[in-house]
Formats: sequence, structure tokens, C-alpha cells
Amino acid sequence: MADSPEAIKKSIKLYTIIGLLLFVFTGITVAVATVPALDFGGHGFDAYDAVIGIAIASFKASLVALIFMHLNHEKKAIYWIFLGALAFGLILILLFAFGFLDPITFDGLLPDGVNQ
Amino acid sequence: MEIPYIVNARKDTGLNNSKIAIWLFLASEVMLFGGLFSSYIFLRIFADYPWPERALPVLPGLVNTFILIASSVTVVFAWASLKLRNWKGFVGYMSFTIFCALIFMVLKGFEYNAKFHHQAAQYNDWTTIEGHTHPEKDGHGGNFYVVNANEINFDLGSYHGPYLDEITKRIGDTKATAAKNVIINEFDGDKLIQKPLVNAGDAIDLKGDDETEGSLRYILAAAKESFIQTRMHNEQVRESATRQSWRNVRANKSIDGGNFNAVQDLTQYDQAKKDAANEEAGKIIDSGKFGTIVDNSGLFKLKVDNAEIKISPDWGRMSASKIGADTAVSLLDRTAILGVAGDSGMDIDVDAVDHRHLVMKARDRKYSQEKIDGMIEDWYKNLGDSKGAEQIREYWAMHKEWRTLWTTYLKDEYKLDDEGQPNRVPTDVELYRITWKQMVAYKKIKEAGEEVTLNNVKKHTPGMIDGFVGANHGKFNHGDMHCFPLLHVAREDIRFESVFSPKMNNYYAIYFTITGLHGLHVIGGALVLGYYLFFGRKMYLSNPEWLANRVEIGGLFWHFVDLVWIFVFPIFYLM
Repeated sequence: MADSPEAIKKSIKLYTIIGLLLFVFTGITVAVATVPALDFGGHGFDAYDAVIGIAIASFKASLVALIFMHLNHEKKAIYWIFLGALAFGLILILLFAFGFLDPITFDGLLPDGVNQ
Repeated sequence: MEIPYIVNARKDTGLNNSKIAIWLFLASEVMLFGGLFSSYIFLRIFADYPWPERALPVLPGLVNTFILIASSVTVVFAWASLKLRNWKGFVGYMSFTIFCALIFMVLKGFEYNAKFHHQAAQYNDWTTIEGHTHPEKDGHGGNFYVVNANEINFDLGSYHGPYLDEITKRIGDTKATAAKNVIINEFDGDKLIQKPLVNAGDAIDLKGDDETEGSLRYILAAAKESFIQTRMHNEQVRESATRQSWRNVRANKSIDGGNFNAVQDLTQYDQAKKDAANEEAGKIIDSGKFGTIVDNSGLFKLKVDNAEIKISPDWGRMSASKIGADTAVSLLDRTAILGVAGDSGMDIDVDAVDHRHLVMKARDRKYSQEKIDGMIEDWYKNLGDSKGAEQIREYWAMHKEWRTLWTTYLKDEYKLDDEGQPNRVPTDVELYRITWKQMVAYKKIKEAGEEVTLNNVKKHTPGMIDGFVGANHGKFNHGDMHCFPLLHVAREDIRFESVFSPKMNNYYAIYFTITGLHGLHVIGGALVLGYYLFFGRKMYLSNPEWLANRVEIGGLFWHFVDLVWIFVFPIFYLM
């Protein structure tokens, strides 16, 4: 942790820049979703928009976590806790994949009438 | 008690304990929200209805995102100010942070409020209209089951005060009488005293409270008490009879040392049952003895003379809603209102018509495009000939013009692919949904006597501010500008109706779950940060480093709340 007054003054500048970056990227997310000229992929919402939207959100979230939450220079214990949570969080998020599995054969099956 | 390692770091972890603690908590939060986002994905992928894509108004979400990011910056500034021993700076930044939290919740409140007042009704053909129900006035409007009641059955075990109040209010001054003699039981020890409470045909006072003798509430309260006492009495009789019969069985010498085996000794078992029945006989107060109110069902029956009763559909179900049909409205408290169905139709100022669910169902059944189009046209034909229906048909005609132009535009603008198919085609939302903004645009085009062109529609479409949290009925449905057609929807045409609450569909369920939980985090975080702000001065003077640590910990939580919103915003508002 930067504890000297000089270091803190320095990091205030960094926090301001990161805050502005977050503002800018929020604007970009909205623009990508609403301005036709920035519509990657097909017209309307589709997988491309989902990937771009989540990518920007993840980038913003990383900025918050790394800079505001000081994860860029933390002690080991915090990283272990954080990575553990992230791993379990991701596992939970990916649980929906079981919806595609046949519980007997474990083949990836789309249920009838879904997304066909 | 001295809590160790709050300001200074522990040697083994290199951290103070508070920080470890908040990170452990945040870890559990990551998993909590991870699970909820997982359910979102699951619900979306397997939705059997058109997912409300980009259905929420973007502006309040966007403003809230900016607010949370700004507060995240200021909370870290507040911490830095403490580190630099600048109390005034801390107070300023922290106040701004809490102010942001307040604004966030106010906006959320506006958003939720708009949802709770926005009504949707789905026709039997899966076409959905959205809008605002007309407020009830002069006996019209609102969203009610209407029944011309001739009998109301109150369940003594479960009747619910507010429902009772509403029903008596609706009966008004119509004459109400008891349908049967009511005799109540009182128990003096084992002795049963029966008293007549009210006789069939007696007029019942609907206004008095449960202290007023002869009033409905008094009768219900007394009968309920009697009902409960009698049931308790009967339970006791049965229990002691059963005990006695088994004692008899045990006393029987054929049973060895009490090792009674019911399967082997069925005769004993039968005998015990018989004994119990004999024991009970004459002591159970059966329906006949228990007066006529309780024909074992514990009902109090009130006769009314064709009183028009209106009940919110949220309170129960109506068995038949066609006007003139014999019907029963059964409420959640098991009160039943029997009578003849009145006009339970819903008066709704329509601000969106959506055929996507119909189209989805038709595609599932592999219907041809012609057939699907025909089904949609049929819906408009069957709307009746009210002014509102005419207006909706006009909108639909204009919308068809617009979507033809839009399809051509997309084809020309983005060309065809190698197989001769257009690179871009209109979305289902554009094809099969008339949004409130389009309604306003079409109305204005018609008033101005203009042609439907892409530019004209764009020119007349309301902007983001005009509908901050949804269709702006105040601005576009007043005076001459009556953009949202008034439609009277017969109840029997409605498959499902709801406000945009969690009950509406899974989308709104998960929307309210995640944003609601997030909102609680905002409130909780603001409370903690507010505590540091308003009660931190003393600690600042005695141990500023400790306060700085506290603010850092609170700040970590606050950043996490911001971080969750960074995902919530695109996922719910933009996808």
C-alpha cells in the first residue's frame, strides 16, 4: 500500500484518470448497443453484441478491481481469496451448461424446440 | 475488548484483519451474484417466450452507472483525504458519495414505480398489449373482476380482514342477510352451551366492527371462535378415545407383554378402532349439532341481492368471466363470491402492441409466413369497432408501411451476401412490435398529414428524455395529443395479465432479484459510509489511521457494488 503522502497524491491523479476511463467506456457500451453505425455483427442484438458488451464490462470491472480496490499491489492472502471466489463464481456462472447436457449419456443435447 | 490487528498488519499475512474479513465477505458476494447471473443466462437461453431484449429505458440505467462510477471515485478520494489528514476533504468527498447513493436509489425508485404501474395483457392468441389501466372512476375503468353477487361464503378459518373490508365496501348499501341459522358453541369445561347467533333471513349490518353485536364482523369473529373451539374439542375427544381404545387392547390378555404387532393382530387393530368409535360416539359435535353455520366446511354464508362487487385479479381467480355467466370468484383467503359475471373487461391505454409471442408459437408449429401474417391481421379485425381499436388499426397499417421501407433500407444500405440474401434484416421487435415511441410518431405524422417515411418517423419519434422510465402518458396522452388508444379488453379474451412485476415473466423476476439485491447493497453500503461520515470525527481525532482503514474497508465494499452494476447495466439494459 502506498502510504507516503506523495504516493497518495500521485495515486489520486491515477484514480481520476481511471474514473474518466470508466465514464468513456460506459459511453462506448451504450453507443455500441444503440448506434446503428457501430452495430457489429448483424442488425439488432446478437452474439457479437453480447461478446462486445461483456468484454467492455469485464474491462471496466478489471479497472475497478485493480486500481480502486488496489488489486494491482496486494498481499498474497487477498489474491488467494479473490481467485478462489472468482473460480467458484465462474463455475456457478457456467452451471447453465448442464442445461445442455443429457443427464444419462452426457451428450450435449439441445432440448426440443430451443433455439432451433 | 481489544480487537487485534485492526490498524497494524499481522506478521504472517502482512494485512490487517479487517481487510482479510472484507475480502472473505466479497468472495462470498462474488459467488452470490455469480449464481444469480448464472440463473439469468439459464433463464434467457431456455426462455419459451420472446426475451424482452433491450426492453428497459436506457437513460436511467446509464445515469445510474455514471453516478456509481463517480461515487466510486469519490470514496477513494475520501480515503486518500484521511490518509493525508484532511478532514474537510474527507467530509466533502464522503458526503458526495452518500448523495450519489441517494440519487441512485431515487432513480431506481422511479424505474420500479413505472414498472409496477405498467400493465400488460396477453390475448388468447398470444398477442400482448401493454399500457396503463384507466384509473377507476364513476364505476368504470380499473382492472377488476366484476361479479353481481348473490351469495358470499366466508371461510371461518382463513377470512382476511382487508378482503372483508373491500367486499363490504363494494356491497355498499345493498341489503345483506344471513343465508342460514347460525348457532355457536361455547364450552364450559366439558359442558356444551349452544346459542343462536343469527337466524336465516336476518339483515346483517356490514359496517359495524367486531364489537358491534349483529354486524358481519361480529358474527364472523364469534363463529370463527366457535368453529375453532369446536374443532379443538373434537380433536381432544378423538385423541382420548384413541388412547382409551389402545389401552383396552393392551389390557387384553392375548397380547404378550405389550409386544403388540398390528400386522399380525389385525383383529385387535380392528377392535381398537371400533372401541375408539364407540368412545367418540355422542361426544363429537357433528355438523348437525354444531348449528348450521358449519356444514363441516366452516363457512359463513351471506346472501346479498345482486350487489356489484369488484375485486382485484391479484386477489383471486374468477371461474367464468363471460358477461352473464354464472361465476364464482375465489379469493386467496378462500372467500367465495358467487353470482353472475359482470363486465370484467380491462380499460387500458395501449402503449405497445407485441405479436412476437404469437409469431414464436406459430414458428414452433411450422406455420407459413402467410398464415402468421393472417393470424396477426385477424387479431386487428377482432378488436371491435371502438375508437381505440380504429386507432390501433391505423397504427398497424402505418407500421407495415414503415417496416417495408425499413427492410428496403437495410437491404440497400448493407447489400446482399454471396447467396443473394440481405446482410441485414429487421429484427422481430421491429417487425412485430409497435412501441410507444412509434405510436407517438405515427400519431404526429397523421395529425400533420404527412407520409410515412423513415425520416418522418425518425423526426417525430420522442427522444430519451421524453420517456425517462417508460411510455410518457402524461405528455403524449393528454388533450389533443391522444397517442395511446383506449381499448376495452374483454376478460375472457385475456390469457394472462400482470403489471411488470416479478410475476410478469422470468425476465422481470430475475431483473427485480438482481437489481433489488444490488439496491439493498447500495443502501447497506451507504449506511456504513454514512456512519463513518457522521460518527467518525471522534475516531479521527484519537486514531485517524484506524478511521482511514475503516473507510478503506467500506470503500472496498462500495467498489464491489459499483463492479456488480458495471455488469448489471449492459446485461439488463442493453442486451
